[in-house]
Amino acid sequence: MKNELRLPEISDARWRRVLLDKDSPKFSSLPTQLMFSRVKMMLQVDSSPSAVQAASLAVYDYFQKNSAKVQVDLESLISKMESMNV
Amino acid sequence: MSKLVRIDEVNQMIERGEILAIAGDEALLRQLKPGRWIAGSIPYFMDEAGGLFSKDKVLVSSFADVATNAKIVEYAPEELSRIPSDYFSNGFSIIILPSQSQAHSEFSKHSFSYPQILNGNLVGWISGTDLNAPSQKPLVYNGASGHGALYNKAVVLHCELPANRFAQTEIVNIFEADENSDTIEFFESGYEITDCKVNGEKTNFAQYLKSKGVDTRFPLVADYSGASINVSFKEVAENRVSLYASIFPLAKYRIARHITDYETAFKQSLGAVGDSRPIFSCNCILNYLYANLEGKKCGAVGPITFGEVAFILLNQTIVYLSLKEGKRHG
Repeated sequence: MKNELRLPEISDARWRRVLLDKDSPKFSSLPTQLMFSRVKMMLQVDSSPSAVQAASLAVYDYFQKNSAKVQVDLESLISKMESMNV
Repeated sequence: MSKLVRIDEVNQMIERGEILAIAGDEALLRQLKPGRWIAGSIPYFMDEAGGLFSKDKVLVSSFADVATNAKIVEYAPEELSRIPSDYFSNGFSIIILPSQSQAHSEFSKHSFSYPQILNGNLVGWISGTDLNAPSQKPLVYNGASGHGALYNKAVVLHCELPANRFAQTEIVNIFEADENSDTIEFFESGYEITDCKVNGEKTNFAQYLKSKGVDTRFPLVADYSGASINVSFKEVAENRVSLYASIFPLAKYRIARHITDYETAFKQSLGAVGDSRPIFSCNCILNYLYANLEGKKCGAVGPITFGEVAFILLNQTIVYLSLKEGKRHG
């Protein structure tokens, strides 16, 4: 796990909340918006714990590969997750 | 930088070894010399002076001052999912697909789910024809191969950027979903639609549109986590609706909010494009027609296309690619 992303660990319960929340974080980058929608659509079909974990990993992987390019979106996701108390 | 040029001028650019993406009428594309270029057929353009139809000039986007390396790859329909594996780790990729081909259909239906597709910058367009010459066939060219016209393949120009710059894929969409309109869902991906669900109730889509008197100049719009993504109407028949891009069964669509003055709304939305000085841009033929862009400046020089690509196939949208200073990877 790359801690510099400051995203919660995949086991953190806030991942499930943010991924299944009706409202997405406010993203400004098109690829982030598409990525997050793709993940949410996958969870419409299967929201089991293993599916949520796979979705969390997909989001994490995306931000790991594109962190500088989508820094504002990363901050938005972190902010939303931090506001979701377990 | 993109500009409209004569065929002898673009051949000089090719001979200098420039990396190019070219749009033009088929008869002109056949006269291009072999080189590091891709091309697609279309005779409609947005130039500095305004929108125009031309069979005398081609629109060329040169990446000579931008790219440090480039490669051109052809993809058959069954190979399209491999596009991201050819991305440079820092760069952008320009794709051109022939309209109404199997490659076009495959890309429209499935690119959203291609692994790693969002970890780069994939932009481009769907080639087309003169609207008054329906017997012509849309085509693309790979200038490096000498294969001649390709009717059922995508050509992609993958470009690498220096470490101190990164590309950003952006869109301008004047449409947004009308939140007071019905929610429309579909049962499977595709262009040819019979049935849908309106507010959860199954109904015939064509009959629904007719009963509501929907103005089909305005597209279906789905909200993708803040991005408004359009699918435009091609034809509403008795019991079937044809679209210009695939719908997705898990997306929720609404008809776009009505715009009284399409032309003015379109012009007002263009500031962002001009400010970013894009290295590539394309705009939709439906915007050209519905906003009466012929002879009018709109600030985004590029081909007027039969569909736009920003990772996925879009309609009635301006796609552009801008360069930023800094490292892409953290």
